[in-house]
Amino acid sequence: MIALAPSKADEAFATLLPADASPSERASFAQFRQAGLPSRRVESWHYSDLRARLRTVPPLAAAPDDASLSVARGKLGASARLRIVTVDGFYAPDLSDDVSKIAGVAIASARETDFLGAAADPLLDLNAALSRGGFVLDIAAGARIDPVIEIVALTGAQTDRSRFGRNLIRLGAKARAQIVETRDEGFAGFGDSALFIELGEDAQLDHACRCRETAGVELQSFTATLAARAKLRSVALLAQTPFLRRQYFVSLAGEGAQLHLGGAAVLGRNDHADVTLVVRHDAPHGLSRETFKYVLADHANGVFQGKITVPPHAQKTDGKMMCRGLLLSDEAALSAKPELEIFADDVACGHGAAVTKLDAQNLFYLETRGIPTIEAEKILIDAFAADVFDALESEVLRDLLRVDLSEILGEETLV
Amino acid sequence: MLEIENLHVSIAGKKILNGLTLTVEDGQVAAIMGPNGSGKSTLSYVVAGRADYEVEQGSIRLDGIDLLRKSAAERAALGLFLVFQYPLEIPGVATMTFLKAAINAQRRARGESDLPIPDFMKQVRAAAQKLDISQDMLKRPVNVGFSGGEKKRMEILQMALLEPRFAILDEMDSGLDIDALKTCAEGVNALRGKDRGLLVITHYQRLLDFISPDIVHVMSRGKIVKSGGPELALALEASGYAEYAEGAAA
Amino acid sequence: MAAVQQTVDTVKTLDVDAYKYGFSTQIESDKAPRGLNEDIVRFISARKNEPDWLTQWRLDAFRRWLTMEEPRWARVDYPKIDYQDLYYYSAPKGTAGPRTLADVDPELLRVYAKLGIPLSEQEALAGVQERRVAVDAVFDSVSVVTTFKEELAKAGVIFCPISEAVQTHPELVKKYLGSVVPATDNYFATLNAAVFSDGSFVYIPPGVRCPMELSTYFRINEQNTGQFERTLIIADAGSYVSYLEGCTAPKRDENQLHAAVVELIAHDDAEIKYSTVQNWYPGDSEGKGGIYNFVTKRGDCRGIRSKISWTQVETGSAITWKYPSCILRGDFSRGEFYSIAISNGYQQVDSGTKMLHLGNDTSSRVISKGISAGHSQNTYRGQVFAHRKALRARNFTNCDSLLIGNQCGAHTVPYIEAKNSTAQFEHEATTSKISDDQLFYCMQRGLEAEEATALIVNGFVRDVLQQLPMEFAVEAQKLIAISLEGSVG
Repeated sequence: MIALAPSKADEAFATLLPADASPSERASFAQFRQAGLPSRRVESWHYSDLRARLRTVPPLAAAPDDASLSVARGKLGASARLRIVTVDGFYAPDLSDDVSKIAGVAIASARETDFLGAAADPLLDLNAALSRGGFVLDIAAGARIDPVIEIVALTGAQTDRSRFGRNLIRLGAKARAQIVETRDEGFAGFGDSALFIELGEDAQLDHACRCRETAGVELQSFTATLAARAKLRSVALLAQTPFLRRQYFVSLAGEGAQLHLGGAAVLGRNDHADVTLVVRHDAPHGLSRETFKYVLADHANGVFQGKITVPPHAQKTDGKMMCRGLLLSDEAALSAKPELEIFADDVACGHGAAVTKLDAQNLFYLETRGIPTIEAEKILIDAFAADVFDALESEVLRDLLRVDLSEILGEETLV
Repeated sequence: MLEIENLHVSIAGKKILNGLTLTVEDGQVAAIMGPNGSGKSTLSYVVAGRADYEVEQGSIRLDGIDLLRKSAAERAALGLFLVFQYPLEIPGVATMTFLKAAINAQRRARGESDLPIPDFMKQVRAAAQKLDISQDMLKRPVNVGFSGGEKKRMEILQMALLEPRFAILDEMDSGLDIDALKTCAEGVNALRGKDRGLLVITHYQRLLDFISPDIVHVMSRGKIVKSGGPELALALEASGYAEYAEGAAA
Repeated sequence: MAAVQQTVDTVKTLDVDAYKYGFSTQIESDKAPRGLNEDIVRFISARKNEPDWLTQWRLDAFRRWLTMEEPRWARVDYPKIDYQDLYYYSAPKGTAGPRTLADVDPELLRVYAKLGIPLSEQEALAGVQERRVAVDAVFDSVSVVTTFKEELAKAGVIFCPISEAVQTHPELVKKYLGSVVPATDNYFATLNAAVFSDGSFVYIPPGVRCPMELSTYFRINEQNTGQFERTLIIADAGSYVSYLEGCTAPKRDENQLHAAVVELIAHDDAEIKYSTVQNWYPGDSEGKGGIYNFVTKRGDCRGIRSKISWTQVETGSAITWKYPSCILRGDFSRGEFYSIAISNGYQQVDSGTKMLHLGNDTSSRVISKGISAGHSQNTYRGQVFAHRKALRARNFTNCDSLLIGNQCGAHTVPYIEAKNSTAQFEHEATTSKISDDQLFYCMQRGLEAEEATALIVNGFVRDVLQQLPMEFAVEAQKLIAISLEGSVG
C-alpha cells in the first residue's frame, strides 16, 4: 500500500477513538492510520474520490438512548417478517423480534467482534477500531430456517453522526437460511459498516441487501468465507446513494463452493455508487458468477471494479463476471474495470462489460403497442435491472427486490 | 490385425479394463456391445494412446507392432484411426488446414513426401461429395458450430482421407438421427475392405443394422464375456444387458 | 495452409537453443561515454548536427526527466535500472550522414541478410513487383540504410532516418515531433525525447497511396547500450501507408534497455496501418538477460474519417511495457488494436491499448490474444474512454488468454470509462487452457504434441494474424512456434 500524506479526516478520526479502546482496536486504528484514508492515487480508489467527499468527520454515534429508540421505532412500522434492528450501528434488542425462538437460531451482542478472515483494507480497519455493539447471528449446523430474517439498519435521533456497524452471520454445516438486509439511513452522516458471513460445509445462504437513502458518505464492506460445497447467493439493490462504496471480499475457501453475487444500482441526481469486489477462488472446483447492472440518469456516476483471483492450486475454477450499464443522460458516467488474475491453468474464466443506452427499436415496439414513452422506458429499464435478482433462489427475496425496484422507478424521474 | 492380450487398465486408481483379450483380423468387422460403464470407451482411448490411463498389464499390437510404446501420433501414422464419440471443436483452425496437416504428418512419418496441393484438394472434394459435406463446412473451423450429424460425417471424411489400416468407431450412432446414421454408415461401409479391420463399439443394436458385423463381442466389467455371430446382437436387443451385469457381479 | 506447414517445419528443425537471432557481430562503433547528463544530450544532438530548437527540446526533456519517477503500476518486476551505467549513443563506425547501399559496411549487410531482411534493391526489384518493401535498417542507435528512397520520392513519399529529416525537412519535424507523445508524457518517453538517436520518418503527401510497404528493422548489437529510437509517421489528407517494424537483439547475459517512441498522425481521410513483430531477446530459460522493452506508441486520428490500426506480435523481451494507443479526435475516426502477446520462460508482459474517443461517431476495435507458458506472467491492460462530449462512440473489445502449463499467469485489467450516454462499449474476455481433449484429438490424427499445440495456438490467434501483411504473417507464425518451444511437457 502506498503511504499517503494524512488528510484532515485522518486527524478527525483520531479524535473519535474512545479512551477505553482495547489493544486490538488500537492496533486496528494504527493500521488504518498507516494507510490513511484512501485517495485517488490508490489504484482501487481511482474512480471514487473519498478524500474530497469526506472533508469533515461527524462525531461518533453513541449507543441509542430512549429518544433514538423512539425515532427508530417510529420508522419501523409493522412487518410480518422477523426483524433484527440496529440503530446507528448498535444492535437494539428492544426493537428486534426474538429470532432465537426459532430452533437453531441464536443471536448475541458483540462488543468486540474481531472476526477472522478480514481483508487488509483501511475501511475495515477503521470499522474494527471504532465499531461498538454489533451482533453475531448463528444458524446451527443442519438447521433449515424457512422464515425470512430481516436485518434493519436505522438511524436514531441524531442523524449527523459517524456510524460503524459490524455484524457477523454464521451458518453451520448444512444449515440453510434466507436473510434480507434493509438499510435506510436517511442521507445523513458518515457510515462505515461491515458485514461478515461464514458458511460451513454444504451451508446455503440467500442474502438480499436493499440499500436506499444511504448516508452522505457510506462505505459498506461485505466479507464472506465459503467452506466446501457451501453456496452463497447475494444480491444488492442500490438507489439514492449520494456517495456509496460497497466492497466485497469473498473467499471460496473450500472445494466446490459456489458464489452468485449480483447487484443493481439505479442512480440519478449526483448519486455515486462504487461496487468493488475481490473474489478469491482459494480451492479447486469453485464456481462464481458476478453480475452487476447500472442504470444511470442525471449526473449519476457508476463504478464497477471486479477482480477474480485464481491461485495456482485452484484448478477447475469456473468464474464469470459481467457488468452492464445503461446510460440515460449525457451527464451520467460509468467506469468499469473487470479484472481477471489467473495463476492456474485448468480454468474457465471470463468477464464481460457493456455500456449502452435504451434500445430504440424495443422502445418503438412498445410504443406501437400503445405504451407511452415514459412507461415504455420504465418497462425496459425494469427488465434490464431486474434480471440480476434471479441469482437468488429465494422467491420471497426476489419479490422484495422486484417491488423495491418498481417503487424506485416509479419515484424517480429517470429519463 | 489388431491383437489385444490380457489388458488391465486403470484411471486415477480405478480399475476399468480387467484382463481384456480381443483379436480383430484384417478385413473383419467386429462389434463390441456392452452396458454403460463396461469400459468400451476406455478401450478405444487406450488403443488410440490417450494419456491419463495406466496400463498395468497386457499388450496391444497392430500388425505385430507393439502400440503401447508409441505416442498417439505414431499410432495414427501406423494406420490406427478413431472415430470419436464426441469429436472435438478446435476454434480458429480451418478444417482444410487441419486435414492437410494430418495427412502430411502421417505421410512424413511413413517416409513419404507431402501430398501436392491440387491432389489434396481433389481428394477432399471427392470424399466430401460422397458424404454430403458442403464446401462451406470445409471452410469453417474444425467441428465448430457443427451439428452432431455434421461432426460425425466429418469424422468419416477424415477416415476416408487418412485410409487407416484399422479403425475404431466409438458409439458412432450417438447423437445421430436415422438419416444421418444412414449416411455415416454408408461412408463406413464404403471403406470396408479385405485389408482393413474395423471395431465398432456400440450400446445399441440399431447401428449394426447398418454396419453388419462379422463377429459380435459382449463386454462387461472390463472384459469380453461372450462372443458370437450377428445373431448375438439381436439376442441382446431382446433380452438387454442385465444378465451380463449380474453375471459379472456374481 | 502453407504458413502452418512452415510453422511445423520450423519447430522440427529447431535446435535446443531457440533464439535464432542471438548472434552478435563485431562491428567497430562510435560510442558516447557511459552515463547520462546534459553533456551527453548535447553530444548526441551535436553528432546529428541538430538545430538549436531541437537541442533545447532535448535538454528540456532531460531536465524534466530528472524530476520524474519510474512508473511501477504495471505487473512487471525487475531490478532497478542504473541509468548511469548505460551507453546512450552507439553508431557503427563510418556511417555519419546520408548514404546509399554502396557505402554500407558489407559486414552490416551480412547481418541483415542473416536476419532475413533484404536490403538489396536489385534482389527485391527482380522479385514480384507487388511484394516490394522499402526498408530502413536501424543498427543500435543509427539508421544505416534506407532502400527504395528514390522511387518513393517520385511518389512524393518521404521515408528516411529521422536524423536526416531534421536536416532536409525541418519544418515537418518541428511541426509534428512531440505533438502526439509530448516530451513530458511519461518517464520512458521523456527519457527518449532527451536521448533519442534515430528512427524512421515518414511523410505521405495528400491523396497518395504509398506504393509499397515501408519497413524498419531495429537491431541492438552493442553491449550495455540502450536503444532509444523515435519514429514519426504523418499521413496527410486522403493518404494511406502500411508500415512494418521488426526487432531483434543478440543474446547477452545482462539486460538491455529499449525505450522507443512512435508517433502517428492521420489527417482527414488518411489511414495508417502499423504492424510490429517484436522479437527482442527474451532472456535464457533461467530468466537471465533479455531486453527491457518500455515503449510508448500513440496514434492521433486528427482528421475526419481518419483511421489508425495497430497490429502487434509480441514474442520477445524479458519485460514488455507497451500500450499502442489511438486518440480518436476526428469525427468518424477509427482506431484498431490487434495483438498477439506470447510469453514463455520468465518473460513478463504488460501490454494493451488505449482508445480515447474524443470526436463524434468514432469507433474502435480491440482484439487481444495472450498466451502464457513456462514461468511467465502475461497481462492485458487496456483503456476505453468516451469523453463527455463524444457522441456515439463505439468500442468492441475481445481479449482472450490461453495458459500452457501451471507455472504461469494470465491477467486481464480493462478500464472501461463511458461518460456519454450515446457510447456503446462492449467488452468480453476469457481465460482458458488448451484442453487435453483437443490435443489428443489432433494427435490421434497423427500430429505430434508440439505440432498440435502450434496448430491450436495458431487457431487461437487467427483473428489477429489475418491483420498482418502476408510476409509478416508467415514470420509471425514461425515465431509463435519458436516461442512456445519446450512449453509442452
